[in-house]
Amino acid sequence: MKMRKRSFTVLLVMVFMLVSILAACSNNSAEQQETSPPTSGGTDGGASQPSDQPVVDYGDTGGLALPIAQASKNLKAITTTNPDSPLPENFFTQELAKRTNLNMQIERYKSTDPTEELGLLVASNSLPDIVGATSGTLISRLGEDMFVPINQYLDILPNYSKVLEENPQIMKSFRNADGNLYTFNYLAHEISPKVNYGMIFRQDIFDKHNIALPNGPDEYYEALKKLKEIYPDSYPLINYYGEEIVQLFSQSWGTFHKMFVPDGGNQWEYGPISDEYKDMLVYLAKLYKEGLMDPEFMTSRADRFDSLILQPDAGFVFQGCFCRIDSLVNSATEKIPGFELSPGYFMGPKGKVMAEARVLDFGISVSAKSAHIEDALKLIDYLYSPSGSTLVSMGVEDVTFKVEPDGTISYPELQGKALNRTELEIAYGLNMTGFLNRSDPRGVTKNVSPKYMEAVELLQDPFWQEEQPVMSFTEDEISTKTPIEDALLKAVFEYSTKVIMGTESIDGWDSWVKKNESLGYKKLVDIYNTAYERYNNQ
Amino acid sequence: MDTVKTKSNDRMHRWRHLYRDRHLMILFLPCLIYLAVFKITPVLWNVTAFQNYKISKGIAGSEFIYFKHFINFFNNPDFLVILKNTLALGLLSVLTYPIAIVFALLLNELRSQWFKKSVQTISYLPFFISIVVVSGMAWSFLSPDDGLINRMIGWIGISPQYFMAQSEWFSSIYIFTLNWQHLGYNSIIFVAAITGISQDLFDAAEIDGCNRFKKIIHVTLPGISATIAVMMIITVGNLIMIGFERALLLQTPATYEVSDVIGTYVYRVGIQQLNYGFASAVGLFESVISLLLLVGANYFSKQVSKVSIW
Repeated sequence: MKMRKRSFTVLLVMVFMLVSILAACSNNSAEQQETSPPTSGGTDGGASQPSDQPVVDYGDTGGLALPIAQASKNLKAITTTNPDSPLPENFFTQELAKRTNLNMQIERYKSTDPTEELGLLVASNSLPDIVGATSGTLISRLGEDMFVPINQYLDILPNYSKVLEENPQIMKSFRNADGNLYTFNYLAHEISPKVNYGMIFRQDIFDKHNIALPNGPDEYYEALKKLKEIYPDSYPLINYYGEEIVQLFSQSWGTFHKMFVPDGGNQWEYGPISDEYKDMLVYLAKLYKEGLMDPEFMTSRADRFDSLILQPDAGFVFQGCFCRIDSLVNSATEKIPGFELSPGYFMGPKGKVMAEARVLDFGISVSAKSAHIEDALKLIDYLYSPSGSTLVSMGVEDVTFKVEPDGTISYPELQGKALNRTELEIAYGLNMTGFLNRSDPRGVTKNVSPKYMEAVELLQDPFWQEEQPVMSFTEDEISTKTPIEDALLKAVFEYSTKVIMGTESIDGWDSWVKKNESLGYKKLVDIYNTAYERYNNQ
Repeated sequence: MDTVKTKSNDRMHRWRHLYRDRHLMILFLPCLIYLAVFKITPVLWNVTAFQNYKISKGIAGSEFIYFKHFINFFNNPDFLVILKNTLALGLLSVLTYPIAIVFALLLNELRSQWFKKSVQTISYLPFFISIVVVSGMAWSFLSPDDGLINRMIGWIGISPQYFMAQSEWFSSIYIFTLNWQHLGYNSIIFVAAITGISQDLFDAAEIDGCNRFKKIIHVTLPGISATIAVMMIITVGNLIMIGFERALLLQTPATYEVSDVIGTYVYRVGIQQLNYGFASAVGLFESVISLLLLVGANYFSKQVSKVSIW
């Protein structure tokens, strides 16, 4: 009797365990089904237009016929978006559906770096039709056979064909090893102002103590020293790039912390063993020693930087993106009246930095497994036309924006909010990463705040002559150069931070050069210059 | 109902035993499934270590490149440095493992049961704090600006030190945070083993004139020697497998020469670049080394103390 009772209890316990495991599993799959957007059935809100609607003039479509699809179709897309942006549908997707008959449902990546997530999507064969925030390098890692080679469809893509003609470096630089182009690229020069990065300083503090705008290392040193005398507890020079501070500063010294082509040069060189790099390290070490630089600069990222810059007198000068000025001033003016940031000259003796790339290896792609390849391609091509680029960057005239009598653009529903990309994305789904590859010239990304314009005007001739060429490497070259580059970069960051902090003396420079030799930098120079020759002979 | 256990290899007996213990077998089934799916099957998928694995092609479609990943790994200019760092940190963690034994011995000597239980419970609470939080705490305490440690050494006149940026301090910080987290948890098994020692032995020792310290040496330690041997063998086997999380969280560019371990290297060059074949190859390398260490430690233990896992 006792045995039967015990065995019954054991059986009950096991059944309970099995049931709870099954329940947990089924909950997970149900959750997954809920988060993926509905595929069947179009959007509610009149997206599929009957063909007897009056023909609307949507402007210059560059030769592309609208609507793109005769019968309404559904497309899925994934890209990086602001967490507050309306998904899977918003004004942008609805207007786009009206014009093209293609209902797009947009998902967002779960993390800021989509690499691993894309890896999972590729492995489980569930890539959406349109994949944003891709690049040639990323696609070569994921597998080119998962994406559509755009260059083979140029006959149906009038607008992007024109883009390729106007920007020959795309076909020269951004094709994958098999010779195909897999991304619609981001035309940086049409979207952003000319200069985006540089030195920024506390205008109000400088005015208060009559410190002139410094230009070049000596003047910066004097200015920082004076600030330290007035505010002994402060660290005048702060940064939010951590150890990558050397990447920014080395440029205005005429060198770089990796392989680069010097200003006016025609060969690739290795920066960290050059005299200019040594000069930069000596200069920064001097700043550090005299307490003019944040002692924790090496690990100082956004959190530490924000806590320092938003104090009345903890840090005054930094290098960064001019786009940050407005948001920092907004956050600071409540606590710090008179807080003002202004752009300045570069710190290094050469006074110029690497030219910002006109086109980036970044953009949007179409999945090769999509059921609507041509429709998806044409949809993205539309966004490169004058009509499409206005839609994606500004919206619809008299609906989202208004042209005032004096020619300025206003956004009636965004009164009281900052006029930038983020707000438009949150309100209407415009300017979304991946979809914004070309902008109407009147768009917010080009017409930046007055402070930003100050930077563009101040730095009249900020760039080296040529952009850094983007070359393609063979698989053998990649597998050889990757470990060398990794080891060198690690050593560069280690040595640079140690010299700046004073734990290592600059007198050991010769052994530093020898160390780079033993790590194989000369092999790297050869690989780069061979690839450069190939690139030039294209 | 118990059948007399004979030493015969009669299959019939084996099946009878299995049937008799069927409830235990069913209870074991979920564990078996877990082992099969998460531990045994991945051993088969180690074949990706010999392939140029591309996600889109899968295992079946990726081409074989045999030992190329391994050659790339060994030819890396930093290979010896990385291996040295990994082995050094692993060795230090093995050498500091006995602290848990000492802690268990001390706990056993406590008279007040209430105090003993509270100390034990508090000691293994840090184990359940995430590594990220513990590393964050280390960063806060050691911050040169306003960290607690720097303030305290400031009272005795030493200027603030940026500990996290000094290579000499890295291994100490690493081992300290590791042991602070794991001490209590590791000692649990030893405390349990000590309770298994028969009280008669202690009484006999008392009669023979042992004081407390002698009792520890002559009764307690020999009594748990089997447990110590087994735990040490397992720990040595895991020497090279130090996970990358702690190193990644505590390292800074200025300490790369001592803080870059196999795990962080593979994370940078393998996982982040979706080079899963390479990451598998390095994982396989680590497993082979672990196996050799485990077999070696087991053999050594068998020779020295007659205690071994197999």
